[in-house]
Amino acid sequence: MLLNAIVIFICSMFIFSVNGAFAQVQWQTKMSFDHILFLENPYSSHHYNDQQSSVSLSSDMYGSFFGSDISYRFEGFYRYDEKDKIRSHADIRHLYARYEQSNWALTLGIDKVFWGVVESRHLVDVINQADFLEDVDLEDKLGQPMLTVTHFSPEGELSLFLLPKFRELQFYGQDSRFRTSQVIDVSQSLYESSAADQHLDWALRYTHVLGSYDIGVSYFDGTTREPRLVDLSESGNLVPVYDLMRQVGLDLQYTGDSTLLKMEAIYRDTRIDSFFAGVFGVEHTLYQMFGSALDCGLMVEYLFDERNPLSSPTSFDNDLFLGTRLALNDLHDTQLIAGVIVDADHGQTFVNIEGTTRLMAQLVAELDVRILSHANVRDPMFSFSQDDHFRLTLSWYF
Amino acid sequence: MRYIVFLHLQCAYFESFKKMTIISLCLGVFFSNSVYSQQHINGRALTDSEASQKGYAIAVRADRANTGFKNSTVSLEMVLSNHSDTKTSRVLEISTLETHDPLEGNKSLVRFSAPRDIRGTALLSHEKITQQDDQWLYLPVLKRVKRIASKNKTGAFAGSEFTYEDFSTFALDKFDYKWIREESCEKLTCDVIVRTPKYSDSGYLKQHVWIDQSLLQIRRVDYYNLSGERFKQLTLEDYRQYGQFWRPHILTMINFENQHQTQMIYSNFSFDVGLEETDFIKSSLSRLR
Repeated sequence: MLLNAIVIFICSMFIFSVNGAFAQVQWQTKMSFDHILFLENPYSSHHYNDQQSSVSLSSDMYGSFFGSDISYRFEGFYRYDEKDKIRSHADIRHLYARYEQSNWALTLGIDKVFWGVVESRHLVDVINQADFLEDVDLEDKLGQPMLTVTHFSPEGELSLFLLPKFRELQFYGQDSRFRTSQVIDVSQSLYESSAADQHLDWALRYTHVLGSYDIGVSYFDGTTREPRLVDLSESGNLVPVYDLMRQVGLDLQYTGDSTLLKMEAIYRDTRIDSFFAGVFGVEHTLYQMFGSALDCGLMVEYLFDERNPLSSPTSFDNDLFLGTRLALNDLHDTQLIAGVIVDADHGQTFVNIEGTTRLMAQLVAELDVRILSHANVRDPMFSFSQDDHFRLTLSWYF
Repeated sequence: MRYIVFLHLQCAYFESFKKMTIISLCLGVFFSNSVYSQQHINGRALTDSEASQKGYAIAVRADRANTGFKNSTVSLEMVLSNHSDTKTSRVLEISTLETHDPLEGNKSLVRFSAPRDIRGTALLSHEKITQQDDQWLYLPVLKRVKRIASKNKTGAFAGSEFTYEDFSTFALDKFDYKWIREESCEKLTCDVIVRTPKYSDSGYLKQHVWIDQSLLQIRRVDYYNLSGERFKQLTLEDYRQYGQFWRPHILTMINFENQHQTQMIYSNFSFDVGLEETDFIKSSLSRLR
């Protein structure tokens, strides 16, 4: 209901501003064509699927009333998958109005925020739900309705977030690629809170720059974005259970001449578990290698997570991440990021390679490779070992 | 003087002592003559220290002519061409804040609007004179602010022939100066000054700068790599006046080593537009869109 009111309000502002000569609207649309080539047979033999194509469309409008302190943004996203109806999905990534003064701002509507400094696993980033249908690396996020008040000072920023509507994590279906070994029935999801997805979550975050140190502390109180998957043996399916949690987060980066030291750590308290988790990393960049413009960034991160492996297993309990970022610094902004996460206990290895280059002024090509090997049967990612793939994306911007 | 000593040793192998003397004398005259014509004005040779002082004085006047704008914004189109005539264009907007702290340079916020796939990417720089700059990069798709290491002065800015070093604010104390000669440049007369970087990690051994004598604006810069070879040249054209400030609108950087060229076309210069410190803090990036 509130969301409908916000949508109507912001849409009317758009109509008003587009017609008005004093408004400044920036509009960008992106259309992508995706093709996935799987290297192995699917986990589920129901639906043989060695290739999968999809198209996606995203439209982003940003504007402000000229001479006023109010700005707004709308970004809608839609993907259509030729084979997987569950993978076809739509989302409103952004739909907010923002009122700004020089040292404070208020945002109302659907927005996305990013917290964190490490590359392998974004531990402290809790506000937005992951768009799991977009990418298994959880980097894509769903829009989150929120009311945010932020105060800005020269060294730091203090924000209060009120998060009224919870977004559930979407899982793949029985016949999908990237499905889990046991089917997850999202229609049966359970909440600790009696208010279910209407529970009002809230968070506080403070960031500070002190010389070469960038520090962030955060506190979140509400429904966890990461459900536990519980077996309700009636149907043999897994059901997502969303507990309430209180989480303290700390992220820290030291920036040296060509080396960065990074850390993210959380302490989470739920009704069934209390634990620490953290990621510690180093990133060093070698500039202009071999006398060319090539920059090579080297990253090493150690991941640990103490959560109870029986109630909520995680892939990143004791892992090492090695990564490299190659930037050609050419006219086409060609870049390659390659990383591997290895589990120190079981040897499970997850390889992730992403290359991108601009083919023409408005056309960008991206090639991703994802391979999971030596998969551990107790690991939540186990079933993905059948889903190793190449993914080619061509995106047209207009 | 070094050259004369070297040639004496070479000439020692000649059979005739007389021949050697004549050759060395001629060469000696030749070399000292060029030194003489370089640091010579009004019929009198300038000493090294006078040349340094004169170079510094001109640099001071040129710098003074360009400072005092408090803050500014400008739009910029960067046209990059490589040796095979492929061109690509980047469009950016640069906001600058002058600081008056002697240890700090200016603060700048660069926002890209083209090519479309990098639209919204921004770079915030707090320049420091004696230390590494503080820099933060904003990635609009992830909405991530990332502080980056900034030792990389010699790296290409946005893939162009301008390096981060070229892009950073000019500060008098970063260089040693020496005036070498007067020369005509187009319809004007220029002073040619050698400036040598005093800071570490520079990609240049020295730069030759042509500053015109009337407007005190830089017309041309020759860049010498660490081996002492001239490998880049910058020409600054289409100077227009904004109140008391002159600004060039077309900057062309040619790299002789790789045959690449970058042309920067400026437009919409605005000075003293009310930007403050709070517009150049890390939070300024997360407030973008």
